[in-house]
Amino acid sequence: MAPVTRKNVLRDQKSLNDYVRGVGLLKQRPSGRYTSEFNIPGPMEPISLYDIFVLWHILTGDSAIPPGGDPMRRNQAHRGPTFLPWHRRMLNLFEANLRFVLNDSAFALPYWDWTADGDSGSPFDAPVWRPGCMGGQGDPVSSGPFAFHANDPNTFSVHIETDAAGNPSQPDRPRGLVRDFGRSEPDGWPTLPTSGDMKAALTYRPSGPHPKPEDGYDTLTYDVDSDGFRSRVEGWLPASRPWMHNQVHMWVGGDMVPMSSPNDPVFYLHHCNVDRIWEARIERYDGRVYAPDMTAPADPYLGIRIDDQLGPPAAAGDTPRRMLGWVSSEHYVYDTLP
Amino acid sequence: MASATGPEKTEAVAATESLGSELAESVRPRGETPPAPAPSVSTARHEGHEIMVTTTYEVVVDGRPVTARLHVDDSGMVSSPGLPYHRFASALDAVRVLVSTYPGDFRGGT
Ligand SMILES: [Cu+2]
Repeated sequence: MAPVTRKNVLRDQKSLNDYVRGVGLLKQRPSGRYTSEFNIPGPMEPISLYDIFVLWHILTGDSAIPPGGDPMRRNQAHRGPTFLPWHRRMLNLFEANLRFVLNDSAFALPYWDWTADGDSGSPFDAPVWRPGCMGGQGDPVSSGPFAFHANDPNTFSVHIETDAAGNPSQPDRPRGLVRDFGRSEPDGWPTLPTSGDMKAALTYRPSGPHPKPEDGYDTLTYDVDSDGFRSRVEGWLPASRPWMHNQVHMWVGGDMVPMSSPNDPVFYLHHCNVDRIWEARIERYDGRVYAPDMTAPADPYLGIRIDDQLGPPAAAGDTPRRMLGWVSSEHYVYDTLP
Repeated sequence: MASATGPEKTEAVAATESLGSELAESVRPRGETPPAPAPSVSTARHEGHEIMVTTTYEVVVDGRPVTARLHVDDSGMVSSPGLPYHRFASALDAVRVLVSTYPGDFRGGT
């Protein structure tokens, strides 16, 4: 199959229109699962195909590696080296579902280049937030394709969220999407990452006396405190403040703040840009490197090594190595790399 | 190129549906009590010594204990599972933001 091209959402009206329409279709399509199967308090409600991804993200964020360990130190999808390959895989599966509901095998996810907004002062009325794109902020969001219309049964609405402890829950009744841009510290963060911030992450070089090539990606102890391109693009380092990926979640605010952040369709545009920055690092600097490799001991690193399984769905057989090679002439390319 | 109704697409939905059932199976059985807030453990070697620091936060809001956990990392910063992209210099700030992000979980303030 010819590769599809993932494009900037501001420069390709067709992928924007298709994305919006596809999200609506995935919200309407049942997954066959119910809230009661996940011990979510409240009435037993059907879960849409779209919301299965929300739940997947919540449950994965609570799955520590190693099992029984601390998910705040390292979980299957965050705070460790699988952050990039796990989300690449999530995007691939979400994109494949959009292709199905759109009945268009050429559909490719668009991305939001938030550094362009960061460079121009993080305006609340940037092009991506116009009614013709993602709509703006609000509680609930009241402009654009994901605005809440209480009397419309097909309105975009949030069905799965988390409680303060991070457990999946549901609102008393389906509610509108919430965005709360640029809150100040500690609630949020007042600016988006700039192209200078991105360049700093892209050009990061490990300092030690004899760094191995893969040290640029991640290093011992491969967790929230370890240094490398991964932790810098995820946004943990330098530790003084949030950066990059984390900073974007904090700037958008509202539903982008908890582990249920895939509730906001902008989540996928954001992560598509994170994936694009990873691909730029690979193409321009590192090559297809990842750490740790299989010489790292299974205890405690089983689940993050290059040939380990990336958590459910197990049948897919996806590993970090497989995700590393995914962007190629066979799958997808980006229109431009930073 | 797969056709419009080709197997590639039904595979995507089938994979998502089986993902749903796999996730449902992995969920803790109903009635099993959730684990108590776990301590944070930081370890280091220093001048031939093995250091281990264990931290547990006890948080009470309006007289009620808070089940949301606070985690402290090796740099001393605090985070909480309900705010997975945040990190705080102060535990009080972490609780402030938890309260304002999850007002429904903290009813009964004045
Ligand atoms: Cu994530």
